[in-house]
Amino acid sequence: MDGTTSQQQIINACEAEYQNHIADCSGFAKAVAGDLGITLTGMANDIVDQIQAAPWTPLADGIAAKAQADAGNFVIGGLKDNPHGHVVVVVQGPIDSTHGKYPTAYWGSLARKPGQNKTVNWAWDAAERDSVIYAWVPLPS
Amino acid sequence: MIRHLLFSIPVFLSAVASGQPGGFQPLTMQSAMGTPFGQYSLRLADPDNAEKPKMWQGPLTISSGTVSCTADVSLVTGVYTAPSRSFVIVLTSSGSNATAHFIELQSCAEKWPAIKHAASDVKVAGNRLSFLPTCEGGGSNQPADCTSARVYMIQNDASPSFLRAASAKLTEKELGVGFVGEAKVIDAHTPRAMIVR
Repeated sequence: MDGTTSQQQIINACEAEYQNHIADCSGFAKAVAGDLGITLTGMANDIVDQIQAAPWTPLADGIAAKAQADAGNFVIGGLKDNPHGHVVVVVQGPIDSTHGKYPTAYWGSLARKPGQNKTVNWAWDAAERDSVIYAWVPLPS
Repeated sequence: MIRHLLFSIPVFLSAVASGQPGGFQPLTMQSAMGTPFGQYSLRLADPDNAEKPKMWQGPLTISSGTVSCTADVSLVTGVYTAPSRSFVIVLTSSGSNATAHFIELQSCAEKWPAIKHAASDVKVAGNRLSFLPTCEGGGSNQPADCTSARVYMIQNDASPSFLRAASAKLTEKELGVGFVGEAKVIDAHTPRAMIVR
């Protein structure tokens, strides 16, 4: 153990994988999860399905997602779409200042609109961002 | 005479390449005070970066004199204008999708239904609106899930028309293999690209 907190481990993994998967949200989420010893598979739509089943625990909203990320748990946010959904990795950090309900996250982007330590209201527009599904798992011990 | 012709050719080719003279061009949003376009002033609210914005939360406010209206667009990535057109094209992003909105300058109403596609980028030039192809996954001999380009011709009095052949051609240029719709592609973006299913 090097004394790094679990919150910082998640941020470090996001920073390490960001450039490698800047153009692929599911590739980014899978790589970060893999670095932390967590398995995610498939495309973004598959990941959104996976986080809605055990061992993942669903969360009510972005505020609850922030609370779990601040506690050092691994949190994914995602929304299915046809043909390509979108997923983000929620990290410890501030909630958005305008609405007070969108957590800080990292994401790669098929649409070339990646997010590095930005709040989730920059990942989905006003019509979609309140429909994002969040869930968490603890980091493996 | 020959000299005159030689000078004329590049001008002609430029007009052909952009579709038509006076086609759509990007409007550089200048400040929170508004960006002038003809008799109008366009203002986007809440940029991601005050000095060098690339995206705005919106909305878009269009003013002319003392009259103004608001278009409810969110996560705006660009605004395109053309002389003699009564509408602007507003590009927005959400998740893996890009959307083109056609907003009336006078009323801020949507002139035609917005066009939404998964895309790696959107280009507006002249009278062409091009959604570039995008791929998810792939690598290590695994196919990627790819979505083709979608190219539209922007018209004056009718909604944009889909150009199937141009879409397949742009997809082939970008991914290395031509198709329209969705396909699983091995080695996308390389000369070895191949549709596998």
